[in-house]
Amino acid sequence: MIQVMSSNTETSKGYNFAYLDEQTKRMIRRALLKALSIPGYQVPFGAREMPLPCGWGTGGIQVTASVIGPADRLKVIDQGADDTTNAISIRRFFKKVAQIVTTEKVDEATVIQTRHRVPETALIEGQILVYQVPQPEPLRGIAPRQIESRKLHAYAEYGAMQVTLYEDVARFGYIARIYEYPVMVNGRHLMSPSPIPKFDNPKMQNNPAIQLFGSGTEKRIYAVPPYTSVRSLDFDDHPFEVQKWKQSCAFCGSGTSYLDEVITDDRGGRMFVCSDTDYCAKRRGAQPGTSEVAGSPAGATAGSSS
Amino acid sequence: MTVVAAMSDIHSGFRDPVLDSQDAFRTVLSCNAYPGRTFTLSRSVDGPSPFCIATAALCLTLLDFETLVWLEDEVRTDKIVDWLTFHCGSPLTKDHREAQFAIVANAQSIPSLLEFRTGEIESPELSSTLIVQVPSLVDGPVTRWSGPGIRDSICPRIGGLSAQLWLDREMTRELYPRGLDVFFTSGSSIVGLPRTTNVEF
Repeated sequence: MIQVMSSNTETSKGYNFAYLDEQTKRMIRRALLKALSIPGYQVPFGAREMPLPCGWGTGGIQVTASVIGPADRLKVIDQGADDTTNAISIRRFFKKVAQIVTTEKVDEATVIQTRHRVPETALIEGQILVYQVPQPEPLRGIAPRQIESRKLHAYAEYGAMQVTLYEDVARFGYIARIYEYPVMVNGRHLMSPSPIPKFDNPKMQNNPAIQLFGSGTEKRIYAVPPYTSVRSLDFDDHPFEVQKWKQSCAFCGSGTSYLDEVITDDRGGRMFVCSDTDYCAKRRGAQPGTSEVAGSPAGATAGSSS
Repeated sequence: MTVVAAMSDIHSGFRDPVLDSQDAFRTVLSCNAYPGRTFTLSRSVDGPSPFCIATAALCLTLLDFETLVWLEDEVRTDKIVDWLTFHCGSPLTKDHREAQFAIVANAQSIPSLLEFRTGEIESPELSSTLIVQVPSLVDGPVTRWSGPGIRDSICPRIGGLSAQLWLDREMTRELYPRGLDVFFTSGSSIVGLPRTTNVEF
């Protein structure tokens, strides 16, 4: 019986289950526990060389590899889509090194690795959302030296961040940041939400799921536990707002999801479609009436150019 | 000349070192993410007495040569030291003030929590994690917990703890983001108590 459950099968010969060796997993697991204990605080960890370049989600992959097991179903999204290069290659990686069952449906997934989006479908307790993080330090633009930014975090000296947002207000009349919008976690630590659109920031607040962040290049892990306050920085007279579109999704007709603008020809034609492919497909499946909209992208183009 | 095979009496570790520790870690992760809830391990391990299944599984999952371990008197037995040394390779210390992991079976004889490592202000993660084995996770005085990971509040009833322990922990909360993280174990169940949790007792 034990042999049946053993991790050494044909396809993973030469690698430990989920690629990383057990000592590395333990080191990452300890960092993950401390990260959950100090929400928003960046825990240093010994990121390993992975079989793909830094910037392709090595941090997220190491976190996923340390939590995932044979009972899990893994979903990987890149900018909301399951069918882009990064998502496909990471899914294939875990199929190969851990024989993990993968899925494109949020409802079926137990672990979701994401690059730059939070799924539109609400997550539930027990699900784990792993963010790929290129640059974990929200203060990097203000205090480029780590010796300094660590002190700013230690003493919660976040005034300078507020000033950069104010500079936007002074120059443009509004806060111009639209992605990687800084958040205050548990009322104490300033955190970069990774380059998700600010549209997704409110989803982090009080989410029932476990949110883990991994940066392989910068060797940092941080986390947001479930039911934790995640406040986007703002001002009383310039409250935080998310993007809105005049258009609806050309495929599913959703007026509430995050839309990508897609160029359809070289004469200025464009259409707006859901960035979250699973959400869009689910809505199209549930709403046969919307196929009309999907069949007439020209109508959507006319709408957006008017 | 005959060779007599010497038998060490070291207890076994996980039956499947890879997948058992993955399974145990997911349970521990849930404990830390949802403080106050009781999570039960689905796989068993036969640790040396007096370690319960959960205490032994936590050791095998989290400890290795990088973690300095302190053992409270009741668990500082030859059997346990041999077992930890063989399976985890952890260095042991007699000074609880420098330990990264403290393992306690008799919660009444635990030193003041104020003496454990709470981390540095710039590196609050360099703090002790306490594994406290208790007689029961469901039969003790009612406490009300709230904070990150808890929707509204939850009322665990952990037995075998002194009132002083809760008072001391309350003091360490003022040091946040420094602080102590605790796992209470009993049988094959675990309750997590990260430093962020506010406990009314």
